Amino acid sequence: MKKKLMDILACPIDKYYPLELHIFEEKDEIVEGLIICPKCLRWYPIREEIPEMLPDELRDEKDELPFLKKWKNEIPKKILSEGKPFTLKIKERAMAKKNS
Amino acid sequence: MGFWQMSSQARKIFYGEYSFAVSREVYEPAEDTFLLVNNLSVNENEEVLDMGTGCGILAVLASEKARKVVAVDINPHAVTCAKRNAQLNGFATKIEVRLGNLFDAIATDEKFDLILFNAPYLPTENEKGDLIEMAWNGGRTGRRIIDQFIDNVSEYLVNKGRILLVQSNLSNLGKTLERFSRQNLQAGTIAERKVAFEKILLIEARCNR
Repeated sequence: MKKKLMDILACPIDKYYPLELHIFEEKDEIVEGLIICPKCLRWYPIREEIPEMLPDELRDEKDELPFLKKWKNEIPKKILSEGKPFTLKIKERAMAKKNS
Repeated sequence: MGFWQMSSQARKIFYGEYSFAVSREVYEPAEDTFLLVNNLSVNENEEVLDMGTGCGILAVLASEKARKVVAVDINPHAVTCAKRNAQLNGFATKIEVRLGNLFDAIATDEKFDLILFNAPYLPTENEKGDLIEMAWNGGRTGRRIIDQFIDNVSEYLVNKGRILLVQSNLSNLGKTLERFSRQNLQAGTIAERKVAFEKILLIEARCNR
């Protein structure tokens, strides 16, 4: 994903703008990262350079939790505990705290 | 893994000098795709939006002339596929792939010269289906997605921009034209193709603001 997109993209759910961007891996483009809506606390992954802006009902917890776990030390605590549509389990959050 | 799974895991489609891997969960280019492919005209340096890109075939073909193509799909497997096919055919820097429902992953500041949409247009009793079914399931009247698309598309079109939309005669052409005109877009059928139980229609709409 090109960083420039973040200057213009709004949250698909509540249309809030601007969104927050956290970059985890970057080459010419953002390879892995997280887009956060500061208003509704929804998070959207960027994986393999693709921003994933799906509505809640189409999101797959089983597929996305590993992503949250992988980057838990880079992701704001508020998202790990209160983010939508899924959060890490309490035990996993505690581990993230210990490691950070 | 059985033979069926192996052989259908990633089908390979060839078109001209291009090739496309189409994974099992992704809509395989069919008559409706090729009606659009055969009537695709992109001008040098245009910016193109390929809505419901699937395996990315239209995005790749549009990239020959376009300056930039944004390819969107609601199916996570499709965007992965489209990204891979963009790379495979040498257009990785031109094609931007995004995952989202209709215009959800597009900003209102983004305007396109040409918007392509091989819409899910088949009327079906089954309102919601699996991911691959979302490529053709148009709800009870076949218009669930088409209507949403038409009502929002003009926001993403430049002045004099155009739209190429594929639907079936089973999903009410008159309603499509009427809806376009309510958005101040002039629309008409520019090509059609008879297949088994329906006629596939290619509709062009133009913005004359």
